[in-house]
Amino acid sequence: MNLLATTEVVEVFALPYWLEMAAVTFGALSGALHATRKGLDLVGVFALALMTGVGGGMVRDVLLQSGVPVFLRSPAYLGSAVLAALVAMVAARLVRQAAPVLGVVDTLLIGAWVVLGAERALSIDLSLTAAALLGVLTAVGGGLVRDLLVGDVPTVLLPGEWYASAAIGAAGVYVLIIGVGGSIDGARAAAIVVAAGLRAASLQWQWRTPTAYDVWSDLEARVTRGLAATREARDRS
Amino acid sequence: MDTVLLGADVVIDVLPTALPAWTQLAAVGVGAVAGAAYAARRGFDVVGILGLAVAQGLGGLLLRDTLLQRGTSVVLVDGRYLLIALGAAVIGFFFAGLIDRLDPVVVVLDAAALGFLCTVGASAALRLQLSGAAAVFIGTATAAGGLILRDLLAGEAPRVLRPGVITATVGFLGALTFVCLAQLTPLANGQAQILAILVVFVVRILAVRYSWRTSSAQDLGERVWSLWSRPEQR
Repeated sequence: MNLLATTEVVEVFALPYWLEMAAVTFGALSGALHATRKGLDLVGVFALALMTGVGGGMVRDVLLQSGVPVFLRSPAYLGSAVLAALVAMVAARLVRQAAPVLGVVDTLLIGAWVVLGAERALSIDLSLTAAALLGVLTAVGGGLVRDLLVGDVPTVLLPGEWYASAAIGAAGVYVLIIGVGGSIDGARAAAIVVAAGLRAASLQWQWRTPTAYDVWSDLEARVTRGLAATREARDRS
Repeated sequence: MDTVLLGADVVIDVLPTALPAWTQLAAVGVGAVAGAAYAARRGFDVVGILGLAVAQGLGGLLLRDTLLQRGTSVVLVDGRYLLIALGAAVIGFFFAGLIDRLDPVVVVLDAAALGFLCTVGASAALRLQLSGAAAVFIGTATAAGGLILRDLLAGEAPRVLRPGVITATVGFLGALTFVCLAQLTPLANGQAQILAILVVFVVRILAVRYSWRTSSAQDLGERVWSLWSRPEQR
């Protein structure tokens, strides 16, 4: 594939390198922590750290099929993920005590993941809808692959705290700003602020993600109740 | 017929068939609504409903395009597919109960979509000059891919691999019929596809009606051995 051509296009849409590294590293750290909590072995800790860190980008790049996945192009991605796994193992107690801090960093990084995924899609001329989907997929992909590897139903699909919903909100705002021709930097900042804001608000006021609302059964129950009430009223009169 | 540039210099038809373009969108829509309703029934949240709608609706074509390696998948390049999945998620979120009531309709639409997907998959593989066997495989994978992806994401062993009313088997049959007709008879691809879709439709409807089920693996050797050893027992 024309690797060079792709990287050239990416220049137009490129977040600072350190932000991407930070996202991978913190993802890997949380993956390693999850592995120790699940009682996995050494292989499990490394695998979960790697997949949580680079899994989202990997799924995205495999789907996009425009060259080798980004995390394989530079040793820095795998290196930082392995480093994070080592830190999580050697200083497990320290890392666990720092969990609240990790949570805050994670919240701040949701928007960065969304922007990374969306810009990768936009750099190969995909539609804004596809960009939004790939942004969300990049943000939740790491956790998704992590949960599948340990055999759990992915947490992002179940009712609970806002994570994917925050990413969806951020992707919507980002795509909207790009769509109306706003500045790229403005869109990036807005995405990161919206994602962090939504997640923080959901934690603060304990919002849960909504589950299906069955209009039909609800309507049916109401009609049955109404009919019963009228019949009762008629019988009485 | 709309074409798209896939990969460096290979141009293949988005819809290598004689059927109008909306049929492929409709096939994706049927799968997406089924995925969304499944997620709603299982108590997943709004993200889960959207995720499983995308997985079941677009999974088959995504799998096909990933395996064929001809650039970004049609379902991502053409924005309409994602919008359909989004619409399906909204329907699944609010009307899962109604969809359960309309089960016969769902069975009919699902049978049509199954036939469509297996022929579209096989047809794309044939266009790339792959062998008949590869085309049958890709066709089956396109038909069953959405269901498999949905079940994996929902944390279950894929249902198509467990004993039940035949689904992947029908997809396989459809792909096989299509490839045989297209390769061995003078029929054009489009005609072969319509015939294969009809075969899949009829077989699938009959399978659901009379619950033709796949059984789990049995040890045939044991049975052969018992035939062999029976005379000695007497």
